[in-house]
Amino acid sequence: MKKILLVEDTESLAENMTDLLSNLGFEVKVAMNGQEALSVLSDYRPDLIITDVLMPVMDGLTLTNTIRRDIPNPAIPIIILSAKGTPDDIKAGLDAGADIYLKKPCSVEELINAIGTVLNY
Amino acid sequence: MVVEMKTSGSQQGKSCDMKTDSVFARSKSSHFMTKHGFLLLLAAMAFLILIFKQDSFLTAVMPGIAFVIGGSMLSGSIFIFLFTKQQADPVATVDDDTTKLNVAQNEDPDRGRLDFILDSLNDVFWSFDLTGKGDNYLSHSAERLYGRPVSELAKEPFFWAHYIHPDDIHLQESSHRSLCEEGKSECTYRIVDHNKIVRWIYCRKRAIRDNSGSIVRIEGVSTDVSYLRQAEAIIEKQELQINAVVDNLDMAILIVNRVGKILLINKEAQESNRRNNRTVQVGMNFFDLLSPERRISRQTIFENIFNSKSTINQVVDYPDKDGVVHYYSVYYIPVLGSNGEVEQICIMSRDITSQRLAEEKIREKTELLRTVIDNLPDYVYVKDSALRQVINNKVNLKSLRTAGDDTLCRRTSGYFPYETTEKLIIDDQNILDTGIPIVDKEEEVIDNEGRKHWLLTTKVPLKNQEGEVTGIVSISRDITERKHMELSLNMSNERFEMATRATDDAIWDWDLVTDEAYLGENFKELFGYDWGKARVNVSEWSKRIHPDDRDRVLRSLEAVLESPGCQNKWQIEYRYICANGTVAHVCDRAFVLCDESGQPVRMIGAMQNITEVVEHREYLEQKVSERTKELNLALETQKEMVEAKSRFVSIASHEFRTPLSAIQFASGFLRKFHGRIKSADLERKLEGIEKQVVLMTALLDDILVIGKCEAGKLKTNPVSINVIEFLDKIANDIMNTKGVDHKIVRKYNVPRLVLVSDEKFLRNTFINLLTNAIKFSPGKDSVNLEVELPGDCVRIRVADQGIGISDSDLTSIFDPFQRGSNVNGIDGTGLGLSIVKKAVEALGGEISVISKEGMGSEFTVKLPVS
Repeated sequence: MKKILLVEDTESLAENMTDLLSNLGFEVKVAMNGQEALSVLSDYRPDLIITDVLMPVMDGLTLTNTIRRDIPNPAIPIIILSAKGTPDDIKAGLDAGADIYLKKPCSVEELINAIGTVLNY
Repeated sequence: MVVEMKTSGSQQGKSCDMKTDSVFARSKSSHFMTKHGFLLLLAAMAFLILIFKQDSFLTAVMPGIAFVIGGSMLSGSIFIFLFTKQQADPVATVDDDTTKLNVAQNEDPDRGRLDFILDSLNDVFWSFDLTGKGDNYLSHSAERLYGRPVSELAKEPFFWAHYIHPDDIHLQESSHRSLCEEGKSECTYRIVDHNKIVRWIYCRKRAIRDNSGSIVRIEGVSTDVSYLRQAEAIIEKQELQINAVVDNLDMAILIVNRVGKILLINKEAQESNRRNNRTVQVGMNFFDLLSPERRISRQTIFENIFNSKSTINQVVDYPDKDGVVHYYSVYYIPVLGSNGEVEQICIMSRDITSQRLAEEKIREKTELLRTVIDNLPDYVYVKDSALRQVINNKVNLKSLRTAGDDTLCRRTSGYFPYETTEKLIIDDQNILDTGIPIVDKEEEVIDNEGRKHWLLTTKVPLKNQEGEVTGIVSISRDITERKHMELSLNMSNERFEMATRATDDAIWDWDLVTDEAYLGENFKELFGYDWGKARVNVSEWSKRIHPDDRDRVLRSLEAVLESPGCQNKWQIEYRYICANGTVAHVCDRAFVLCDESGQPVRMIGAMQNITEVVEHREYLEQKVSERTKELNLALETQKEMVEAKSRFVSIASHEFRTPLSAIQFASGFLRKFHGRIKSADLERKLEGIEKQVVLMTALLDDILVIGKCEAGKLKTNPVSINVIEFLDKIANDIMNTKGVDHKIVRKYNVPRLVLVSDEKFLRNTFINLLTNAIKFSPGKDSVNLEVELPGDCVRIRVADQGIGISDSDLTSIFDPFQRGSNVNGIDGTGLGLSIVKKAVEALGGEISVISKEGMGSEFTVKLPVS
């Protein structure tokens, strides 16, 4: 079973996504912000990280940068799912080290395609 | 009187060889002489006078003296006559006494007449016998001389020796020797007469010898010549004086007779001849001194004088021995003799070379002067005391329309009409009368052709040595052209001055050559400086330029003056210090005038006081600046607002995306798994979706309120509110809401308070604050609401013991969409406090917050009590 770390501060969304991804056969762990995610990562190695950008304490871009810097090998695929969706926002996210940038609101299919792409299935 | 013969006389007499002389010879014709005595007398006188005149010029010069001499000659001739008479008739037998003589006179009528004549003469006749046998004779006139009777004297043949002046005894002795040797002698000597008066005696005597040759008788005549001697002395003295005068004259004087024999020559004549290596003396012939040509010409002059008997003057030139030509003015003056003919000619000659040279120079000077005044453009004339024009220069002659010489002797000219001329003559006459000159008088005259002329005239009196006015000199210049220029200049100056007065500008006119400037009258009005019409140094102007501007102005002036071309224009604005110390702003405009060579000589300009303009301009600039600033600020605000709006919209849209995502995933879940979803899960998913819709609706409401605030559309509707009641109602409503477990603990420190305020805004504010306090204090059971009235405002405090706000979040807690980092899933739009702040501010109040993370927050709303 593939493991996903979901970093999302909005409770309702995190709940809905967890429901969805669990039913799709993933093990989902939720962190409320970047800081929390990093602490999770210290003893937990997910196959994929899906993160929001705008979060209190540590935002998604900082988290991505930190992960890419601190955990280079093996590289964990990162999907950014953000309400921010301008080209500059997208470029910033990819530059930070994300593999895919998804803009809220996205369909279930889009999310599944993105996960399939980064996890090669 | 009379003869000699002392003792020594007889001794000498013996040695004398006495011979007959001419007088004796003539005595043989005594009879003839007796008969024709008067004729002879006249002849002898004429003869003597002639001889005498040949010896002396004095007869010509001094006829009076000549008469005296003539008189003495007369006596001489009488003596001769008498002497011969005596000889012819030897009646002169002098008896012992005069009685015999008288008898003899009575006996012979001729003898009687002779005695009478002899007695009436002053001369003393005498005849003394030396043999002792003959008679002695002594005429009666002896009595007058010696003061003793003749009868007495006749007895003493040597009585006269007692009377001889001691100094003259030797003369008698030498006279006696002559008598002995030659048979006659004469001499002049002095006697002292019986009155002790010294008299001069002239004595002639002869010796008569017998057949053996011995002297037997001496006879003679003695004459008192004292008066003659006195006259001679006077003559001699006067002759000396005359000679002194003549010799000391600076003219050469020669007196010659008709044939040219020099009778007199003065020192100057001798010296002037000596200077030419020639000695001239009395007795030489004047004509012999001359060259043949000159001799002929002088002889001609002499002939002319002989004929005309009048003086001739001529100027002759002689080269001196050095070849230098001298000029002499020579006068030939006839001296007429008693016969009325020219007897002598007095030649007087003066060296006038230096005078001639001086005259020459004067003539040259005169000609020079003449040339000068003839070439003057001015009218120059000289008038005499009768106002006759005696000198005119060419210009003046032309004006008189007369050519030729200037001795016109006219009173007036023909150039000007009568009235003009009369006017001019009045001035001339005034100067003659008063001697006061007229200097630089401008006269307006009209010529014969009706043209107006302006003359600048100076007339001065001519004065002689006594200071009398003898004429006038007049110099007039035709200044018509200049006058016209002056008049037009005056007109343009007047126009200039009028323009100066008409304008508000301060006009200046700067002479670049003298550096003097005329600074117009408006300087007084504009700047308070009164320079009148005087010209002042330009520094008076320049030193009053504001120090900060002076260099710039002067540099600019230099630049325009140095730049080529004429009529260069100049314009500059600067500050000018007024007399009262205030600063005026001026705009100075000028242009440069150049002379023919292009050199700038003058600069004319006008200073315009633009203080008001500048002040207004500055005011406008300031206004523009202020407005620009305001505008910029507004623009900035606008920009900020636009940016804020854009940011707001961006954030707002972002805030919508999250609930939308939740809904999307929920609906996606339902679609994907609808076949195997449990009814409880279905219910949960639908509730979740509805919850997100409610959230989005609340969000939308808040965004609309914010939008209204941003657009300034918040309109308050003030009403009276009982604050306590109002707050109690809100608190109760909240506490009665489903899911709220907190109590709102109220503490009102005022019993009753009525505010005039907007009810809706106020309610919104306190619902927000109270629900926030409850929301962010999970696990607590109460929040606090407190009201106090410290003065002119009311403070309403809402406090909780909840999660609090971190320091970093506190600063932006009232900004839209800002939520504390510690909210941890507590729902909210992030707009509540932002709306509260805007509402409070719209009510004229303030909101502040004190908070500590984990300890709780305290919001205080301060509202004015109207």
